[in-house]
Amino acid sequence: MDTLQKLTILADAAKYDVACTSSGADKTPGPGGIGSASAAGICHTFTADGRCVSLLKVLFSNSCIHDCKYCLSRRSNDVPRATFEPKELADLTMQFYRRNYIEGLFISSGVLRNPDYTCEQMIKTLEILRFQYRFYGYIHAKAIPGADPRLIERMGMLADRMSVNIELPSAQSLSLLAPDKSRRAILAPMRQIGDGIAENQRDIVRYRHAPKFAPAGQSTQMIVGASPESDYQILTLSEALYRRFSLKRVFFSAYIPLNDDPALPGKEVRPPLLREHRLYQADWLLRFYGFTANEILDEAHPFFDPCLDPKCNWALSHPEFFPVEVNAVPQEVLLRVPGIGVRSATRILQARRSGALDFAGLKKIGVVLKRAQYFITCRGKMMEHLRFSPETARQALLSETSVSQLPGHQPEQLSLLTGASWIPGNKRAVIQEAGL
Amino acid sequence: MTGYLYDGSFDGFLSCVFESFARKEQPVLIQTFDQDQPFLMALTTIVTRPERARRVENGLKRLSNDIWEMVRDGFLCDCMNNREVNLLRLIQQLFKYGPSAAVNYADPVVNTVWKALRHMREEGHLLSGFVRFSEYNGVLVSVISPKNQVLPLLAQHFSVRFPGEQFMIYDQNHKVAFIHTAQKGEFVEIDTLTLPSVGKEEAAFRAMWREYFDHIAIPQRENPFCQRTHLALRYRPWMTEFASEQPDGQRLPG
Repeated sequence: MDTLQKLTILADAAKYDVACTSSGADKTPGPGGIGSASAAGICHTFTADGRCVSLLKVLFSNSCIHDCKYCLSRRSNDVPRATFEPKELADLTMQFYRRNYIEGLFISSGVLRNPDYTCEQMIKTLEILRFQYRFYGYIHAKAIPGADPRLIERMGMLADRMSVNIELPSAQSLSLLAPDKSRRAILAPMRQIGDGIAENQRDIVRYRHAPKFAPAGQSTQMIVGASPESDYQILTLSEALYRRFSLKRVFFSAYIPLNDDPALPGKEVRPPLLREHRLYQADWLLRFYGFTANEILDEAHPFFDPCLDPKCNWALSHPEFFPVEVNAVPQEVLLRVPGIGVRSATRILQARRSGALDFAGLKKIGVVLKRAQYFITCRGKMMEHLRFSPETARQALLSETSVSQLPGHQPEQLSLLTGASWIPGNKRAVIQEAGL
Repeated sequence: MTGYLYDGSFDGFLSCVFESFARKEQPVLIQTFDQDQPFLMALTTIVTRPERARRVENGLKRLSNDIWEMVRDGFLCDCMNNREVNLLRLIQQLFKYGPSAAVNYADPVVNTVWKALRHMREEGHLLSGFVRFSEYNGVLVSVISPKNQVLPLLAQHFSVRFPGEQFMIYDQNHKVAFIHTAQKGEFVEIDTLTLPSVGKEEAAFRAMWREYFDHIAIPQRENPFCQRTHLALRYRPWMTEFASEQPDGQRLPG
């Protein structure tokens, strides 16, 4: 089998892994080396589904001893199988990198023979890249649960970012859908990597040139929509992961039906893309806006409002917090205002030193007044000619695109959705069935 | 009303700045010799004097290095209307009010320059990913057609990334190329660039990249609108993976 065929098969098998960022590492090549990385990451192209391609994302092998029900490469599926040679994959990476097709390599694998053997093969590839070709570009390696901790350690020294997929949001769903995996086996390498990163930060204080363990941190991903967990459960889980394992990112992947299995949702289910989108919005609120999971959702409201983004939703249910005076309040308060993001908050802080800002100035700075106007004052005044009640504000803030995606939506039905309890229970079921 | 004529170089522009301070003039127009001159307005020709340009440069650097970069990179923004006059106004404000004037984003002049800068740097950042090299006998060649003069940014990025490679990036819109060898890097003006047809190995890697690109997309999530938002159509003629979609066949070099 030639490299082209292998690449086709192994790219096909890797594409359901969502993470493909090249962020978090900032480095320049050493003597005789090639390749660099910038902290923000660089996207090299965007595929037909609108996702960024930054790294060459392939499986080392799609042969697997596991039989996870949702996975295309599971043992019981009859699909073409392929495995790279370490040298072959390293060569391909270098040639793609020189042509600026990619920012580096994202290497993952099915479990070939056993976790240790798979890990060794992946390490061999990374060693050729790092030592033979002196490659300083970005490498994201996926730890194989169940592999020897020394191999994980070795891999972390070669890669910029490590990740272990938590796969599903709860231990019950994991044992149901991935019977060969256990929560404990997944969390063990995650803890080891987290400890390694922490230790490495202590070492760097002592020795500036100490080799770094996964300098771009650790990430994970989970499938959303294959199991019955609520958004609230998923969000508290991600919060716990950020806190306990100091992860850089938690990725959510909308479930795409690939296999027929009684334990899975049917094949006609559409991927819950809007739900995934709302989860990412909430994830940003956790990481950059100082929100906690309990503020965004709670036991009484365990699901996101499909028509309203989580920040607007929070703001509308906390009228006592608003309006805030843009020229006076600190950054953490500015960040709570819908329509003001991290960047525009920073710019407001900088610009207001030279003089009080007005609404026109805010617009120039990049604040989305369409949303922010209901929650702010400038020099003590609300926006001129703005009259609204909590009801009309909610209606104006509804996302038109998500409302238009609701089942049975016709433009004139908009008014039905703006009642006090915005959506009755049975309608929510319809929304979930439709995969929104 | 006064206006200045200069040679279009950055030092020439800084000389205009020097001159406007020396003569206490507020030019409403600064343009190059080859642009059409306005009716009923006498323009003063400003001679480029590097030593005067250095004095302006040092003055700006004394404010802060970020401010110097703001002016230097601002001059690369072809997308800015009335570029020279806006930059001159910015410099005047900076010298008058100090470095904090540069972050007064609500001010009309600062806002115009800052938006243009963001646009230019964003284009440069995107192109650092979208540039595609093809190999010709060990030399990597790439062609781009950017709106702004982003070549200096790309030159910096790729010189760090590929220190040992011989490569060339040709900006077709501004007719400038950056040529990098293991010893040095330089900018060269080139009117037209004709490249030989590609070798077998190069064709094989192009085919592999295209195949990879097609297979990494998830069909159930197809979203061309989202794709177009992130990757505008104007970048695509030079990108290997989109070459077959182009109406006039393959526009890739070779």
